Amino acid sequence: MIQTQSTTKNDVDLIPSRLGPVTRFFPGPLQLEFDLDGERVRNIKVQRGFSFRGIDKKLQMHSWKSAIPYVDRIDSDAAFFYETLFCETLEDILKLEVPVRAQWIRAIICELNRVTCHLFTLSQISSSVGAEAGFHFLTRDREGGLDLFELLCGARYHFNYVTVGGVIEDVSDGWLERLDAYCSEILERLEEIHSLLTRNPVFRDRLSDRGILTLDEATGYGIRGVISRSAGSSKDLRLDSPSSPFIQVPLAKLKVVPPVSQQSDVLARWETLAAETEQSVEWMKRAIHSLPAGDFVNSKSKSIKLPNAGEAFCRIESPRGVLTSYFVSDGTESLNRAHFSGPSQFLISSIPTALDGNEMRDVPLVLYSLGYRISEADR
Amino acid sequence: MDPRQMRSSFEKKVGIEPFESSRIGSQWGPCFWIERGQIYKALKEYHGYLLEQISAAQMEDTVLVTYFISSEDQTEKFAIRCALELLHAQAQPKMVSVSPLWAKAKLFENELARDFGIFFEGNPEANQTLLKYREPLLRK
Repeated sequence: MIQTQSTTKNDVDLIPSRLGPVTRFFPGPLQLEFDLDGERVRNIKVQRGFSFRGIDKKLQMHSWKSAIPYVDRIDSDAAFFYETLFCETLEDILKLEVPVRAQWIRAIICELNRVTCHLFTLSQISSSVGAEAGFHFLTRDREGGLDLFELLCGARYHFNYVTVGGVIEDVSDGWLERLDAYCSEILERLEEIHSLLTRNPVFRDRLSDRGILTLDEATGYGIRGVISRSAGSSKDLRLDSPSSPFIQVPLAKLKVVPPVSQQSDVLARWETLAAETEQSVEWMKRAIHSLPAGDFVNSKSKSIKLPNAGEAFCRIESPRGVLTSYFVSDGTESLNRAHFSGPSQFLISSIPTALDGNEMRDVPLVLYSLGYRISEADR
Repeated sequence: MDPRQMRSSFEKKVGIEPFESSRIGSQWGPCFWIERGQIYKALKEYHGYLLEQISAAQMEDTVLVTYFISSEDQTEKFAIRCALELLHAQAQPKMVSVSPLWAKAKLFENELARDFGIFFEGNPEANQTLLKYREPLLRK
């Protein structure tokens, strides 16, 4: 709801206004303070911190083995990335090797999670401009991915599937065939979305020249990942960091080239998100047939009682950008320091630049196109 | 790059000899320990690099603040670290903010101000963060 603080107009006709923190237009509780110049928003200030839960501290209070369910809650839409990064960082401290099959399973479920996450962002963009058909189609397609998660581990959001040394269970019989069928279906459905929306001149006109963020601005704010790629960057941590076992084995072999567009408005983000979804789906279709045989978890992981004293720093390319973690263990059961840094806080800090000069009706569109999650930024 | 090469490259570029070197896991490069007052000078030389994260950990009476840096092409990955001593429970150690070099640094520094009470001089939101987290204490 818009709250006008003052109706007195100054010499340039700027009306100070406030939006939020809780409003249906925003992806989460966030407060925007801005001046209205006619229909355009200027001088935007962002206030966040309304859903702070202290998850980093909770990770330090519990034993490292029982902390994984808490990690899922940081960003429910991209929980597999947090689980994988958490376990990779602990494995680095423990110097524990992960079987190749487990690395591939982690990579496949992370890519499936990337697909569901991108489909959700696309559906939100579609909904924010009133294209309800696109919203319903994309949400339906995303549900298929959540069904696959449920078949795999019994949960649609808070998975608790990745564990230190591998994954809790091997993929069940028939799951890979279902995933293959889902991938084929998604490729057809995305073509429908392209014909319905992406190639629709009215839809393109509505999205173009909104929420402009250049590559220099994005880099200045520390944004990496899909938003940065939509502004012209070609960096992708999945390809750039061959040292990580998750990235090295599954993705580098297949030579996936990230899609790069030169525009940096909402339309460019839409096209990049859709292209990355297709890229991930196509990669999964190939990866299913190349899944190596072997153990799904390191047998030594069950016998580990206490972690070694040490520290580790790891990164992963999440659907919103680069996610980093820094853990310190002093040899006791709980971690001395567990610190995540998600991309959402950088995306939120770019809101004043992305929104400046846009019309009031475009505020939800720009915010949804950035694809941030408040739960990840506030933690 | 080899850690020894990286250390000599660091010494040459910054003109500071680290008093200790350590390793942060197998996925990251070496960590160079320098004095607190030399942090800004050292990081200024790496202005064109990526600041991955600023994090800290408390070891008894010492807070170790670590800056994770990588080059654009990801060939150089290293960390720079300094130690802050906590003399008593209400101590508020001070450091120079690197937010003039990287805009994103202020977000990391705000987190450290919240978690460890470190005051970052030059951070545009330092006073705001201090008031925000000191307010409950003042009420008592």
